[in-house]
Amino acid sequence: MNIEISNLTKLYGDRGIFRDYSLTIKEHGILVIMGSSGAGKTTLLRLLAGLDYQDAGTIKGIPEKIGMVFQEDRLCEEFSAVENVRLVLPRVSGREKGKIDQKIREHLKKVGIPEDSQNQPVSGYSGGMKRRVALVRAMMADAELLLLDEPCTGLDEDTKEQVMKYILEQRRNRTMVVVTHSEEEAGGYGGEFLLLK
Amino acid sequence: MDYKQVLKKAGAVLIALAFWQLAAMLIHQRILLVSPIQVLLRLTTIWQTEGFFMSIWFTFYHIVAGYLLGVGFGILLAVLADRWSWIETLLWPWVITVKTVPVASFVVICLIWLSAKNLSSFISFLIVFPIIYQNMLTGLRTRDPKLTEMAAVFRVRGLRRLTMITLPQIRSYLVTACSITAGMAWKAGVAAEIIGTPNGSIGKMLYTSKMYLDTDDLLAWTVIIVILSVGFEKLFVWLLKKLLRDS
Repeated sequence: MNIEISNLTKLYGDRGIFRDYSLTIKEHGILVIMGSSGAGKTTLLRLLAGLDYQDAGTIKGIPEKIGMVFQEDRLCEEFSAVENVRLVLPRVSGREKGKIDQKIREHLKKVGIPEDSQNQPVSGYSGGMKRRVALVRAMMADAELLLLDEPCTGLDEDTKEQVMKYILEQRRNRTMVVVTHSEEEAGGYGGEFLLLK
Repeated sequence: MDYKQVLKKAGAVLIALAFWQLAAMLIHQRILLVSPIQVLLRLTTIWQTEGFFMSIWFTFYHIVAGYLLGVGFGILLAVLADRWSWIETLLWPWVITVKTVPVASFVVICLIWLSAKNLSSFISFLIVFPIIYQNMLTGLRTRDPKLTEMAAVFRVRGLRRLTMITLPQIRSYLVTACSITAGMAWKAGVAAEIIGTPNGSIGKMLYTSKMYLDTDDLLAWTVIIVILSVGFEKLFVWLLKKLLRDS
């Protein structure tokens, strides 16, 4: 099911971020949103995630299960990377838990989180490492819609490449909306472009 | 605490004890002031007093029961007040009253309604409840809304949300409140026992010591109260920290 945004109006005080705005996000598609600061990129993601409400208009077709990388990492700082990712996965016990943890470790390794630090509290991680944990959390979540707000922020070029490869590999045909400032990164996702002004 | 700090504090305690010993020697009136050595000697024999262990159990049981009730109700009502603001408004006059009215007034008033036996439990509860309630409420209100949003998006609910998102954010508020109130519960509880003088309580023992001007006993019982109070506080806070960390 496509996501249909119709005649959307979102105001912040007197300032209209969106006025009578319409957009279709294709099911299983990738939408890459670019635009200057304050253009409404994050606001659009928040509206899609149900964290903000429009002043007018409708948003239809949003699936119940959403995975999201927020503008900030929003990790549980005193817990390990594995625990942070496990938090959003279905609850299992016993042998199944061991299998899930192993899977999480493999995902974390894929984005360059070394095994010896995967059980350390994320409070001791660098900004780039935290970002990658937040990304793995979103990609591993049982979600039908992925909302990624600048997922590669704070990553060096080599890591960015590794992370983008991971995103495309783990998307698994799910609908994905990505916000980015980088044209190069936007091109890498290979989806539709939307420039917000 | 580092080794030097421990040494410094131990030195300060020794100086205070020496000062006390000197004052006792100068006054030379056992009724007015006994020396720390005499108190220490009395402590080695006081356990042989009839009803010693029963008094300790009676006071411990009643004060700890009141304390735990205060902690439990404080947490529960803070959670409810955080969820529904009208509960906070409804509780406001009660919390303010309990916080401002002197303990002694409460003790005397409550003696009209309650038996002296249960008074220390109720007074401990009254002292503990508002502090736990307000600290918990502050902790709950200062939670990071961004983490709450994250939990909402990923549909993190129930025990997981409590242990990984809520508890880590309110832990310091709860532990601090429990630590502060543990000592206060003992002070207020024993004060209530001294006024109510229930049979078989430490308060009654203290009152009797004062009546007979038995200063050795008075101070020995005081030392026992301090040991019980500090011991309970350390044990409870340790258990609480362990529970909150392991949960």
